[in-house]
Amino acid sequence: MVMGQQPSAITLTKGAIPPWLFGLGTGWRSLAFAGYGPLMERDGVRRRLLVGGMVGLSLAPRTACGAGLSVRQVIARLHGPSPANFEGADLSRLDLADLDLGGARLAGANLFGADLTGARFAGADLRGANLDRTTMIRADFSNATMTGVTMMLPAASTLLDQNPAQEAPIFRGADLSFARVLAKLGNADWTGARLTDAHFELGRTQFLAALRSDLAGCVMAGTDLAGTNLAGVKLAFADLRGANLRGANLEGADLAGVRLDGADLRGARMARCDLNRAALRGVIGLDAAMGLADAFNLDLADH
Amino acid sequence: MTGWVGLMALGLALLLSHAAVAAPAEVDVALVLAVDVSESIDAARYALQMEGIAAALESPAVQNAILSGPRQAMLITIVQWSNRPMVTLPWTLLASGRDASGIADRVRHMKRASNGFTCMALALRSIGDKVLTQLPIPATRRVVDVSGDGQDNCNGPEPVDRVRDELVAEGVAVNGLPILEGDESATLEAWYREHVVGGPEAFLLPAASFDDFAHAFRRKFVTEVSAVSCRGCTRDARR
Repeated sequence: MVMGQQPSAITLTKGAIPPWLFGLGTGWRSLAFAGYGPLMERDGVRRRLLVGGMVGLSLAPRTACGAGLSVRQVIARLHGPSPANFEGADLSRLDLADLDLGGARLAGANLFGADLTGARFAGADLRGANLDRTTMIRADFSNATMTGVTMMLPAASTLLDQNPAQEAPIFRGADLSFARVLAKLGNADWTGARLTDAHFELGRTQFLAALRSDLAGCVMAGTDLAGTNLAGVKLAFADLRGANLRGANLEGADLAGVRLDGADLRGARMARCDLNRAALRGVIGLDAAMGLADAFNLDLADH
Repeated sequence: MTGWVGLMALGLALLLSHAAVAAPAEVDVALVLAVDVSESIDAARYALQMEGIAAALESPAVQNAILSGPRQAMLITIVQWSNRPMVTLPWTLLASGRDASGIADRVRHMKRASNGFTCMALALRSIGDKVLTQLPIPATRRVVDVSGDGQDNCNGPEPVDRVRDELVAEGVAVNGLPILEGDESATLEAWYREHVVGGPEAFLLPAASFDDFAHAFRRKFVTEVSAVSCRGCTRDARR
């Protein structure tokens, strides 16, 4: 339009067809759309406008504070009929420290950012729960069902305690199959836990690739890690005696000083892992492990 | 005949033992002792605080006061607070001198929970949400005693006043027992009065020093517990 010129009137043409969606896409809790708008006429030229937009599916963000239950409501439910039911509940950012949620039903619950310090989840059902950014110092998940949980960047240590093992959460006997974990969980107790097909790293984006899960010094004797993705994970000095690592991905993992006596490594991927002083006596299927020739310090391992 | 006497004696013994362990339907007071264990409380000061609480519980005057209420029973819990609060004595029934002595013994051997910042608002929030909501027996009065040697310095999400006001609105009395020793001794009493104390028959009772803590705590206990029997006759609610 030339300066000074009056804008032309835009009129909807009679009989214009209603907008017709030709594009549709979903994003993070939103719906995007685009399409041809109504037929219009401007300066004698008929045009069809392109319209588009985005609709939020939820007014509150997923991690909104105060959108879900309060601490008092949680406690009231804990004192109600057993087992307490929090399935799908929004418990994000709540102070649940030292509470006993043993046996509670928490499948699909959103615990993002919650303080779980010293909380007890023994035998709880946490399937598919969101444990991202939680504080889980000394939290007890013994025998909990945690299949498909996400544990992205939880805080599991104050970094101040002289004995880090005292602060570590407990996953003894828990089922974390298909869990997605990116966390520093060093010295945690995973004895007898099930971690089949769990993912301990992302590595798909440039940003998160720099972060590696840390399971150094963890007690993981007898754990089921079949098919678990432990690529790049720090497992130095972890106790993996008798663990099932069949088909696990250990590429680039730090296995220095790790105890793998009697572990099953059939079909495991071990390229570029560091085996410095790793205890490999009685390992099943070491010869069949893939990429072992590319592992570091195999000659320094005890086998 | 001897058999009957034996049976009667056994029945009486069972009746008495049942009476001894049966919990009352309600207690006079549910008392939270919120004890500051922040960085400024060194090991010696921590010991003085714990000894002060233990000695108060063993005091005949305190025990008489506890047992002089209509229900002759109270509930007591201890929350040590610093960076975060921690319940170091869960709700315990105090209905006899023996109970008091037992609790005193536990207090003397109580392990320190943590040390760090003075997060009083966080502690009061936790007490309101998680401690007072889990009373095993209903209480006529609910009281929180806050003792410490400094102002809140935690820079938390909400100020002490707001949490205090919420507790007061729910009928909880918050008493203050500031220990006027250390860097903040000149201003602490006024700060406690302004930001901490509130609720029905609440009071402020400063201890001149950590050495004075036991004495102050004993006075506080008697004043506090006896409030049930003389409600409204000696004190005004501050808020």
